[in-house]
Amino acid sequence: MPLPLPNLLLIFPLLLDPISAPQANPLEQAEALLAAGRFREAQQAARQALEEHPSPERAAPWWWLLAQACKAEGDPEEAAQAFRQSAELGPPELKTEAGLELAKTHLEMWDAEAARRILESLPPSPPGPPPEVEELAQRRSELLALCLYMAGREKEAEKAFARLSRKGASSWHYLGLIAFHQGDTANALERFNRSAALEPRDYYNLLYRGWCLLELNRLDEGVEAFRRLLQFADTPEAHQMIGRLEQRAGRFAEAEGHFQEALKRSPDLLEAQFGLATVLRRQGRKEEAKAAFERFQALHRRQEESQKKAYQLNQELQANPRHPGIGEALARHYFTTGDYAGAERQAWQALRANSRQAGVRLILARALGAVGRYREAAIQYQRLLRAEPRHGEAREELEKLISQHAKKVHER
Amino acid sequence: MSGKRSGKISGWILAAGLAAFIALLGALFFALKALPARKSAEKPGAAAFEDRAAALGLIHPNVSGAPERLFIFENLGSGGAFFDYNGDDRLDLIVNNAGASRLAEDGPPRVELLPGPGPHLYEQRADGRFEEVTARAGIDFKGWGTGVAVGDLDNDGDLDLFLCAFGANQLYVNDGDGAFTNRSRAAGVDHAGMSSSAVFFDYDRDGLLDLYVAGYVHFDLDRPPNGGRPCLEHGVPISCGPAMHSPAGDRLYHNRGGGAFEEVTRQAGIAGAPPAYGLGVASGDLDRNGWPDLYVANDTMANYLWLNQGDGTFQEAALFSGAALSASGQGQAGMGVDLADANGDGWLDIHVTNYSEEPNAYYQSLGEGSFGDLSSGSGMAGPSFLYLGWGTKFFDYDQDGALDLVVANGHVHPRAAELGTGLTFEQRLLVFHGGGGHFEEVGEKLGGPIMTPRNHRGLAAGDFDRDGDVDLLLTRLDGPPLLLENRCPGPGNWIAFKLAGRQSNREGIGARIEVEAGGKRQWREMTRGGSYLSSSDAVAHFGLGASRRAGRVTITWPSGAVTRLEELEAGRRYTIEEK
Repeated sequence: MPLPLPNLLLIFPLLLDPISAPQANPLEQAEALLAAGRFREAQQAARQALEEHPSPERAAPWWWLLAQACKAEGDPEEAAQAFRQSAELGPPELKTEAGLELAKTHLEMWDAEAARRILESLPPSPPGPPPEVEELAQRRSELLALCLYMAGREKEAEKAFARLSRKGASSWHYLGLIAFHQGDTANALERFNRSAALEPRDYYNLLYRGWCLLELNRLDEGVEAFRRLLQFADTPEAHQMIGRLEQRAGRFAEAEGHFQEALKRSPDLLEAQFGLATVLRRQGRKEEAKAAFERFQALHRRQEESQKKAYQLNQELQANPRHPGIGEALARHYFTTGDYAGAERQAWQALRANSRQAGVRLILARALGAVGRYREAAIQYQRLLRAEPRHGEAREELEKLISQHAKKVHER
Repeated sequence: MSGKRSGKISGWILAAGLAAFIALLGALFFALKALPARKSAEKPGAAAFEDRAAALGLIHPNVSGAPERLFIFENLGSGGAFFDYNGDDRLDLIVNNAGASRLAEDGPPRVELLPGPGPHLYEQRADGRFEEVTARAGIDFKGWGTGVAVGDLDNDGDLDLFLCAFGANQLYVNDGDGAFTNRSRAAGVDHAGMSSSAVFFDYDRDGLLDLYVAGYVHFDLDRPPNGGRPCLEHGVPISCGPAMHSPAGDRLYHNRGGGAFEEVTRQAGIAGAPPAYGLGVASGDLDRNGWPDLYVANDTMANYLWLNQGDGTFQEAALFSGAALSASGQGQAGMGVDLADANGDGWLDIHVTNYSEEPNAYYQSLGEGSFGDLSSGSGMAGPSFLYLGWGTKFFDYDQDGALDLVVANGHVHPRAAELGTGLTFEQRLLVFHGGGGHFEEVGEKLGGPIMTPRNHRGLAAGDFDRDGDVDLLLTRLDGPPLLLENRCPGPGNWIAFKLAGRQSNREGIGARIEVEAGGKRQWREMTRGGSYLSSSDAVAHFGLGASRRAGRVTITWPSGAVTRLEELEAGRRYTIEEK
């Protein structure tokens, strides 16, 4: 007999706020639930409506609503299925919209190839009034460019982003990243600046912008840029970058302070440990420097071994892409070495080969939880427990997640 | 009549004029031949370097396995060397060579190495052309050759050859009569593994050149990595990287005299650091304690700086010295290395070539064996970022008195363009014009063969045409070498020194040569090593800019002796004997 699942709604008690206005019909009511952030209830309403087997025209908006609710809740697998249904059943104008959302959802699951196939199947000029058509075409092109970028085809991605008639902050950011990866730092800076002008608080864009200033030896500007960033994102990476700028400028004491701050927030941050050891050496504090270098060496050795292992597992996986054990081993390797993004990416890839791999889903849940994406983590634990109700680790970790983080959400 | 007369006179004048014209043409012809080649490059649009290899007879191609290059050793290439092997005062050349490989057709995956064409030794004739004399000189090696090191091991005045190999390394001792004798086994240097670069240097300053050999990876032919399958990147088959192999580690040999070497890797402390993927090696006194140190460029790992303790041992100090890793503390894929005082402060700086999508590293000396990574600040990082660098040399190509830098590039993956990141298999050279430690990449300005994408590997420097400027020998993965004659329309005068050691080793390897000219002080350390798999000529060349003479020249020999010279005229190469 299946064990009862921990109540997911406990994690998000703030979502239980009542809806004040009465709604005219079930679909509008469900839309109101969605708008109010009551995603589970919106999903339930949609599923109930779809169980009544409505005609395709009536089912399409429900699939659309279900997809949006799943997506908002952090369940891209369910969202993808629902977007696919709404694209198949919906009127032409919804087909394109749903297709774009479906592609985006696949990108969230690190499946650039599926996303590209979907986008290429969409008409470049969907039916509809000109402004909307232009908007949809623009979004399609932007997503296609992103697919190329995520597939590692940077040169093609650069051309695709550059062709966009209107470039948003993210397009400029990706263009900046591509230039940065090609060593064209001046061009990258210009592109990150364009992105920052449209979206002044994009953390990663500002991080890379500051990195460009370091590479271009515009040290004081770089320090200033990171100081502004610290005001809303006091991260170890930002401190580490200021440390490097100060170090390059020969202000070793200031650099030391920032490397220390970075290490307070992330004790294993390799670059900060290296920077700290270096500035201690440059200040003639040999014994302290030696100790710092020893600590760095231990971290560095661990990183080297980890990278080597990842390379070997990656090669094994590419040679046997459907082997269930290798994908899981690689995802686990990334997770245990603290590369949570790598673990997430690899877990999604392994789940594409076989979505029933409990071990992989557990790693996915853990990786999402490790970076504070508790809602998404909880969904993955729940999915695992639905398939394997007696999975003790998953149950225990989900309960712990709820007990620790539902409270925090509430306090916020 | 007047017509006739005038006709006669005219005829005579014409004949005389014609004879004079022919004489003038002849004189002009000889004058043109005698003139330094750079003059012709002063025409607008002429390239600063011209590839003279084919015209002068360097026609034998390098080979390096199958075109797909799916095994790591097929990517290494082979190096070359400038050296005057027969003592006729003309620079000769040797280009090492690899071979063919194949995966055995039956049974478990197994790689077979097939004999290659062997190295090619080219003797320079009086007319400047090169004649291939390998067999005549007794060089019969047909294995998988990689690096070349040249040195006078027995101080008998002729130059000996060490050929690194995937397989047993080869030592050819020069008999002094135009032939070499293979003494690999007798000398005890025939270690079989995958050696890359090597350098001769006198680490204990006993007057005999010792030998350091960098080792790359362990490659078991009977158990190739990844089950004999190629690795994949974005689905493209490529050779498996170092991470799929264990590192080979380096070896140090002490020259005991009498043609014998003793392996002292452990005794000297070199075994104290974990084995690494060694590719490039250079020697020089990096901490100025009077003893030659070593710098080893390691692939994908921290580089090694072996500081000579002066007691026969070395201490690895790269990390603490700031010359091991990138500015952010990451290991890079070190390939080649060269040492020189690039910013004119009296201390050797380090340039390391790295993999594509990594900047080459420039570690500027802060004095006392301490370094700062100035790759970005110096102007070297950006231009080198997409290139996969191998051989590299500091040299003053325009003789303005500031060291410039050349880098040989080429990718390891023939299908690099399919990786989608803008990389190419064949890549052009990079030439950086230097001044005070700042560098500007000027390849496009120099044009010609600098800009031609090829798969370059080894690089050596030497003035093969004796016109005073430094020329370049480049090897390729799969083609004949390049011999780049310097025709740069630079403004500078020059002066050069060749050394003849007595207490010190014969070529004065490790000597410090300091030149003061026009109020500026420059110095070089005599070496043949550095770069990648290659050996340069042992001549210290100085660009003097507008100065027509060197006011003072000081040579500090490895023995400790000091030679002082004054008021030396520019435009000459001097041979200085140790007293």
